[in-house]
Amino acid sequence: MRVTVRYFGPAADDAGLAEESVEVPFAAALNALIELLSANHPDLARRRAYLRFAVNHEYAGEDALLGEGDEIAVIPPVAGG
Amino acid sequence: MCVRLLRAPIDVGALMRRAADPRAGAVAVFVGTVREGGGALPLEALEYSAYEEMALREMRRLREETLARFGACEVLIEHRLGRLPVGEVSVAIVVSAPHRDEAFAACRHVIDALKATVPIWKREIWSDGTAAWAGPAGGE
Repeated sequence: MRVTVRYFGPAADDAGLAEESVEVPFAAALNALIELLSANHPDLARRRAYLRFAVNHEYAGEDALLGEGDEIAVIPPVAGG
Repeated sequence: MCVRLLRAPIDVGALMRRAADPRAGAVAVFVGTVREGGGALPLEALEYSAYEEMALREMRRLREETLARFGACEVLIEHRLGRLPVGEVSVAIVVSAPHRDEAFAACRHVIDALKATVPIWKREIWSDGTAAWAGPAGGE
């Protein structure tokens, strides 16, 4: 199934893009997608420990199950205010 | 709109007028400003960006949670995006509540929670034109 991955802040610099469409196995969990992204974007993989992820605008744990058309965001440490 | 992301100067006075409530004996205001920082070079500006749809969702949720938890009459949150020179207001939080204890506590809670959870980022831009993302692991 296809999902959209969006990158923000320094994660977008690491990935070299703001957004991409990614194919994942049916009923994949978020951690499977993260492994895939880490393999495709080595600079992003180095930041792995600092990253949080959101699925459809909600923070999600790595065991979250993904669905067709989901929007996953790669969220480096936030710095608002 | 009780929570907003905007690319124009924040009008703190207008927020205070909007937060006014006959039940409120206190209005607490937090204003965050761009500071020059302690770097070797002078800071020229901070450039704020956000995952806007999620930031607004988190800000709305934070407002609802704060209203309920502290018994506030109103909670208004505005964050500016884009390039802000030193001295500009980057964020304003206005809370009205019956008494000052709740108003102060709620206002503090909002800024602390905003800084921990709302997907907004900033890049530090220095006088020589170099830039780095603020926060842990930024600028590596």
